[in-house]
Amino acid sequence: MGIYILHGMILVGYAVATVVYFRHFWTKHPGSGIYASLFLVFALACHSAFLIARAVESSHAPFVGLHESMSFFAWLIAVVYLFLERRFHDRSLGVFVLPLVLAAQTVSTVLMSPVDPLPPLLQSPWFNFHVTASFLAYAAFSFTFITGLLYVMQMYYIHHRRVGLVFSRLPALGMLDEMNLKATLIGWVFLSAGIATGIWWATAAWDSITPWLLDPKVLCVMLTWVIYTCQLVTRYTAGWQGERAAIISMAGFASVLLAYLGAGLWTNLHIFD
Amino acid sequence: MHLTLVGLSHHTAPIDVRDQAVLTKSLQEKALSFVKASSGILEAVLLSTCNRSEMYATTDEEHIDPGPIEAWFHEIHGVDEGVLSPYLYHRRDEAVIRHLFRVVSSLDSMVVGEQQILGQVREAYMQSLNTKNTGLVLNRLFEKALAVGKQVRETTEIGTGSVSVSSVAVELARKIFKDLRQHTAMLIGAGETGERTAEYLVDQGVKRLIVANRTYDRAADLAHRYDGIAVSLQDGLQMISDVDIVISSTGATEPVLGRDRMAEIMHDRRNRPIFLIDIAAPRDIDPRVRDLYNVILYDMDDLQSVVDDNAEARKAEALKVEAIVETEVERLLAWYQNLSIAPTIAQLRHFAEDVRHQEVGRAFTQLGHLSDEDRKIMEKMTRAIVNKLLHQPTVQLRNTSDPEHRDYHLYSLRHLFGLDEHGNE
Repeated sequence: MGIYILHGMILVGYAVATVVYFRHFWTKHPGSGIYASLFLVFALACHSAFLIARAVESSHAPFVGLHESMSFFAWLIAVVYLFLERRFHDRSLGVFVLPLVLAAQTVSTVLMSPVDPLPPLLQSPWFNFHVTASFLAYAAFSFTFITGLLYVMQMYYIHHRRVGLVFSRLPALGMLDEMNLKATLIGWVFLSAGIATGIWWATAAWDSITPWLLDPKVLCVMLTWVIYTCQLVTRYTAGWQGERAAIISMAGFASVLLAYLGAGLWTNLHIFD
Repeated sequence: MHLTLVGLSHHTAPIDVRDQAVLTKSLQEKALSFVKASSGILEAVLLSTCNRSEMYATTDEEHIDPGPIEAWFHEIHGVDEGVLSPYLYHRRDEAVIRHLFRVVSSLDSMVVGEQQILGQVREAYMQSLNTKNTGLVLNRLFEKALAVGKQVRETTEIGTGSVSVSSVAVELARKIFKDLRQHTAMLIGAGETGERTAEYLVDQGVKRLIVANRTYDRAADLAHRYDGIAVSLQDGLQMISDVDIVISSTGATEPVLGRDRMAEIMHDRRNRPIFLIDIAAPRDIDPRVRDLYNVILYDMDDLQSVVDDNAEARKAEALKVEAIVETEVERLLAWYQNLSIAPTIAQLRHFAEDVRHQEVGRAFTQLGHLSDEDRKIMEKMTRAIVNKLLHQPTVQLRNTSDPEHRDYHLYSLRHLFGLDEHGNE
């Protein structure tokens, strides 16, 4: 019973925060910004309590199965966003981030499942490291998507002389590009670490490389890594900063979604029954 | 006591008349001491900007006729009597409140939504406050007006979206670059709009300003004024790859910056974004540079269309502001109308009766054994105490004939008993 109440509080917290962030974005009302952050902090506190409770109950880190991993993903995005909000003193991204958090947490709640014992294969310290690194990368890449999308929007407004309300609320192109670069770098480092541990671990578990190398999820992750590597290389060699980097990030995030959700439907290796 | 306003503004007076009615700081101080010495005016605030000159005052009952106030107004400004009369407007009571609230919200300004007026009103009020020329009414009126001005700017879009070509250009620059302090701007050619844009950019903290001109002396002159660097036109065109914002307004008949040259520049600067502002007629920059990656070009027509859109948006916001002003006028008016003797006495009695009622009720619950007869006696006794205590102050207040004294008593009474905190908000 308690767990349902906690789930409800998390969802309501994020939903209210989303509404208040929207209100703040449109009305610019000075007080509402602080309330938006407070609701977000409240939801995050409940959310952290849930993840800890789940981890204690299952005695493994809370990201096994879609229910746990979606929730963990939502939590990470919210934490990273709150950090960025403090760091850049800018609440305008909240309108775009919070719906994502709310959606991920809603899906997680719908897919609620009892705690499963950890399969023997995953009872390894590598598991925690591999999954944590991958999820941090996914969360960082979510921000490359959001900042990339906003960059394209803001550039559209500027090129088409549509400098109205949304234009005035969105951050400057330079700031979006900088956020995008930072998120890409962080994501790239963690994804590389995740892939490296995955390979290390897989070579220990299997004799041949074919079964895991041809796993759809592994292929999608590799594709993601290639896309973001291209973004960084073209940025530094050909000066593809700004809009082109933004578009590549959006493609990269599509590949993340494919790896995370799509591949889950037909992969064998990454579902560990 | 009455609220009175006499003044002139850009709505009623042409610029040469307004110039005569400007109060310098020292003149303003002199004027305020003069107001203090005059017998009919109880409080006064003088608001003087380049677009308006107004005197807000409270007067006693004998000076409600506008004649003497107009005479004062001329005297304060050191102008012969009657010279300003055709341009003056008068407002009384409720209309004064509404006028000031509209002024402070910038609805009455030449450029609706401008920011300066709030500060100007605050300064005018502070000066009167510091020289002790304000009292109960004007303090409340101006405090409220400043709050309204702040509320309007925080909760509506009246001030967003620039409405001049140069400020639109600067606003765009701020939305393109994260921090202008890290970017260099170049002004090519001369011309009022170009110079003003450069000036705004310097105000916004742009890292460096380079001024390029066909005549070097002219460039040096401008560069000196804005703490920039002067170069010849030829050198300037060579340096574009090192600057991030270019304002071009030469009198050249041919474009000074073609597409091919711009492509070279973008190659040199490794596609770092550049913002080109072309305010020359005919145009200085080939419009085809728009196709190049990370080149953002705004010409005069582009900027003007943004100005028009913003002005349109402000008009729509002005309706919201009018509504806020109306609500706040109603609120202050409720207080203002209570300010005369009769409502104050009524409020005081009401307050005393509330206290009495509450305390008697409390006593009755503790003394449950009292008979009905006892209760009646207690009711009667407490009523008598209240009446006797309030009798003398009431009579004194009614009999004070000197308006200045009466306002003083009124103010003290309202303040000491906290009458403005109860039931008026």
